[in-house]
Amino acid sequence: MKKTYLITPTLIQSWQYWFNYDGENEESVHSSFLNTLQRIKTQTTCAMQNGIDFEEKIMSIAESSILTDCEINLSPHNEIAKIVKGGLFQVPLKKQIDFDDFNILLYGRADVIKFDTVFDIKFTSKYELGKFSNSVQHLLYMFCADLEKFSYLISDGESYWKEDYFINSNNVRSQLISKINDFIIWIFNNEKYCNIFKEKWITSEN
Amino acid sequence: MSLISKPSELLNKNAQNTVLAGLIYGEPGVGKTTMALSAPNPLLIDFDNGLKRVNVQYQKDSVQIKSYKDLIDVLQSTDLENYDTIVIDTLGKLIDKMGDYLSINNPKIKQSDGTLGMKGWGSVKIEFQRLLRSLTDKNKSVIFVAHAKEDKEGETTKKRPDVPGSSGKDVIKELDFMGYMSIIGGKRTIDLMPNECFHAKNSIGIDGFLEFSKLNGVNDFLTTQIFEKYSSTKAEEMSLRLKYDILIEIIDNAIDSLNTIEDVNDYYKNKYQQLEKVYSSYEYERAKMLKRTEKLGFKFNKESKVFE
Repeated sequence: MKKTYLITPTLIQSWQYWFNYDGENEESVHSSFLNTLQRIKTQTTCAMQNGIDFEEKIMSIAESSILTDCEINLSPHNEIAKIVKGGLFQVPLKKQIDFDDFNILLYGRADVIKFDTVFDIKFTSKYELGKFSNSVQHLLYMFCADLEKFSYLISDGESYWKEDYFINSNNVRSQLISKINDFIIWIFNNEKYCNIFKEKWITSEN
Repeated sequence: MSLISKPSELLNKNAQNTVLAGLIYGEPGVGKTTMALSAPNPLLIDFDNGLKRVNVQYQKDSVQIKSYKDLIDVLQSTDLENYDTIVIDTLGKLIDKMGDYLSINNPKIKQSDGTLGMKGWGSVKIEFQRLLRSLTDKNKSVIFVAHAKEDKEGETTKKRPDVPGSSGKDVIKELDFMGYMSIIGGKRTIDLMPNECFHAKNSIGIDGFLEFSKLNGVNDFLTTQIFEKYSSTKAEEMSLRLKYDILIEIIDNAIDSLNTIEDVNDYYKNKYQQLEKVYSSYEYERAKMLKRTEKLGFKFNKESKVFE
């Protein structure tokens, strides 16, 4: 029976970041990738906590019934809450891709799904237009959910921006498979990393 | 006048009723103003004297603007009723004039060197939002034209619209689409999909890469390739949304009526995720089922694949 390995956007992004990194902190970037590969839970950093707090605040506003028109323009929290209100929160998404010798189970957890759109809420200290255009996250989530719209809802606490991605299902599949293939080819050609991957990312789920 | 519309007439009518805010930017000479004037029934607000560079046969009605106050006057006049799209050429000049106008009323928003400070850019952002809102309230689309500017990002350069000061991303936030226009292999192209070479925005869900050949007496590219396509996408979405709403009602009724363990297992075995999937209806059904079974105190056994 073929084995099944899990792949998440975090794993791919962490690998891509290290693989393409050309700066002075190579060691720390590599170590961060190794932690992800070994599925080691790292301590929550201040930036991570800010993101968690931001998301929780939005969820609590969106789930409450007190969101009124006059509140909407007060803060990015309210503007984002207005967009996601009525959606499904924290939706697990998965889809299997079969390779010759093994299967890959793509897995992610969408912050919100509403009608035809997957939403991801991002908190960042600095936002530049198109910041997430190379991310594998929107491809993986759209593919797993069979939806063709994805929006990043981004805030620095002061303002909010929306980055939309619309890709038809054929494009999503081919773009995603190409990114997954790059990772698979690389990892199966690097024994040290491959052994960790096979040990830590094997799954019995399907 | 006939009450019957042909599909193409209807599409054109819908396109005229479609209100969009977009931006086209690119290098000088690629034909940005001509392209912007291919939007439905446009009026050119000409800050940049751009009309003279448009081939005479494609020129449209225009207003030469000297100050932001001139624009406010035009936008308040009844003449505007005759147009569906307002083309503002260029966005950079509009922002400059807006800043000048706001600082006349409130000189404190300018710094000692005459440039706008943070407060000034904040005022510009608010005024820009107000301008867009006033146009959309009047059911007018807006197409901005901008020059391209290069940003250094490490060793690479990335093109973005030339918008003064810190207003760029706040302005772009308000737009439905933003395309980089260029000439590739002799053909003019507009790309709405962002990549490592240029900024772009596509919140309207149409094909991101648009290519067009020579104009042959008709300049309607934006009307047919963006406004009409968006309008037909919207119509398709509306019909799917209706289908989705009906499915959700069916799912709600079915799951709310489950009370016993037998009901739940029967539903899970024979009906769960069996309906047509429209948008996120399967995810909705999953969440609904989870909530219902939790309420009833049943748990799913992953081994036996039944609720207990």
